[in-house]
Amino acid sequence: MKLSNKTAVVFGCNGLIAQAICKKLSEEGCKLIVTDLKKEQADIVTSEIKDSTAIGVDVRSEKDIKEAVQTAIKKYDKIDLVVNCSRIALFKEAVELTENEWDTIVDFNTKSMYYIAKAALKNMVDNNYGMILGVTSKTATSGPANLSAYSASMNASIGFLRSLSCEVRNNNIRVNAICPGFIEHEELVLGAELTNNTPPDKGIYIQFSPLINVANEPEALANLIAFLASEKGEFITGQAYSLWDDDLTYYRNLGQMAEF
Amino acid sequence: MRLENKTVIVTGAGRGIGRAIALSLAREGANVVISDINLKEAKQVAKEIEELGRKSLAVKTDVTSKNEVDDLIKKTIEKFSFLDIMVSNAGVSSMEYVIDMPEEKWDFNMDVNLKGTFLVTQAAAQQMIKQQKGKIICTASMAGKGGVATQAHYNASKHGVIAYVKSLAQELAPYGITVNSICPGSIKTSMQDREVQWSAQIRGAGATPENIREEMANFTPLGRIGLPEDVAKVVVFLASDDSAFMTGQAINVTGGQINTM
Repeated sequence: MKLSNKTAVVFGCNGLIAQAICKKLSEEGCKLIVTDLKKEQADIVTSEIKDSTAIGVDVRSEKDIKEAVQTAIKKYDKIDLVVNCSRIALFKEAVELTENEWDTIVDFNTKSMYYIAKAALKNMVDNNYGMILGVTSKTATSGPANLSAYSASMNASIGFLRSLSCEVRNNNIRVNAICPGFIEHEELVLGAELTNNTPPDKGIYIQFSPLINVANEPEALANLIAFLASEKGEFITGQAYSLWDDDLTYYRNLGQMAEF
Repeated sequence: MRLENKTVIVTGAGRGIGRAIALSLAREGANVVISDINLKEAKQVAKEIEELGRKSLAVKTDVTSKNEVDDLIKKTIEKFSFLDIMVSNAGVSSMEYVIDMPEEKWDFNMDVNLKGTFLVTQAAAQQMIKQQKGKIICTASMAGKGGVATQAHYNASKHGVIAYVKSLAQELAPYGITVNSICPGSIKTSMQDREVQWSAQIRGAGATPENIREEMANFTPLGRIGLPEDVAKVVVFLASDDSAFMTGQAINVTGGQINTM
């Protein structure tokens, strides 16, 4: 087991990627605090995983995040790994976005990254060990239509993590991001819910990655994270990884894809 | 002249890179609306534009206020009845390690640099869609492509601008509107003056602002700190028909300091 005696907090577990990450970290011996905006969602995930605790956390609240980190430290004396899987998306043109919708997306996806890093850093600096990992998105670099706030927030998170990695290099703390290629339906549903919109039909998001069997992606990303968190990943910091390259505009433009 | 009788708005045009952009666009024949949070400085630049023989208008805009941004577009259309080019340039920076960073510092950088870009470009896009024509140019930064200690909030905001511009470009392409960003490197402005002073303070051990600036020049392959005019020339190109087939791009103006596309 690559991660025995490690403690992790995973923020946001309503999607397949987060669930695959929780499962993999646990299989590798990691003790887990699993949070979600909806505690019952975290309960479902922890019910299938040993050595895990579920907490309800709104990642827009610094207080909630601090409490989750403190719970981990109280229970296991330290925190080794924080993974932020909290992502919401809104499928809407920029000219139609309201200010409130913009704020909701950016706060949930990016400001959460700042809160989480800040909450975990002190203990990690004291221990001279840790890893901060953000689950962002390939849209950070591809920039699709109708997901402008989402793309902006995802690349903003990567920018934040890159700078942070420079600040904590000498404290043996690694800071990385992974960039999943497909948009999970759950993040569109939650994004719509938090902004009083209707989510798009299931299936539209899958068109982001038509050449890849995305069904295998959550497990593949979870394996990558376990590697980054392990001893073998200890020289890797300030990186944003995706699993494949598809830098072609027509895969990004959902409006056009819908006509295929 | 490449921009004769075009109407342009430049936000954050009271000083620094924004001022140089406004003056360069005017020299190419454009009428320029000078938007800044500091109305006194905006009026001064508007006067310089008029001295070049172009029309101008000074508007006080806090780019984090949707009302003030909408008002900026309204005043521009009232006076010029068309908006050819929007240069969303207003930006701020500060320096702080994440571990000690107060939430207000995070919000300040993200609100002005990223949300301000959204509000300004959205209002411009709404007007340009009616016109079925337009060019939007955003000032991002080389900080939008790499990472540096003490500016995690600033880097986040500028990374956000670059990704946002890519998405917006996809959305506005069907209307004949292009959207690009520029990524200045180390440029001699009042923002840089503050940053080298902060850097010297943070580093301590006898470091001076002059040392830091010299270091910045040494880090730059072309061997000097850039001038606001270096950036303005590229904005003129992006504002002109010469760049008609470019959209969604983030152009480095860094003296070679960063190699990422």
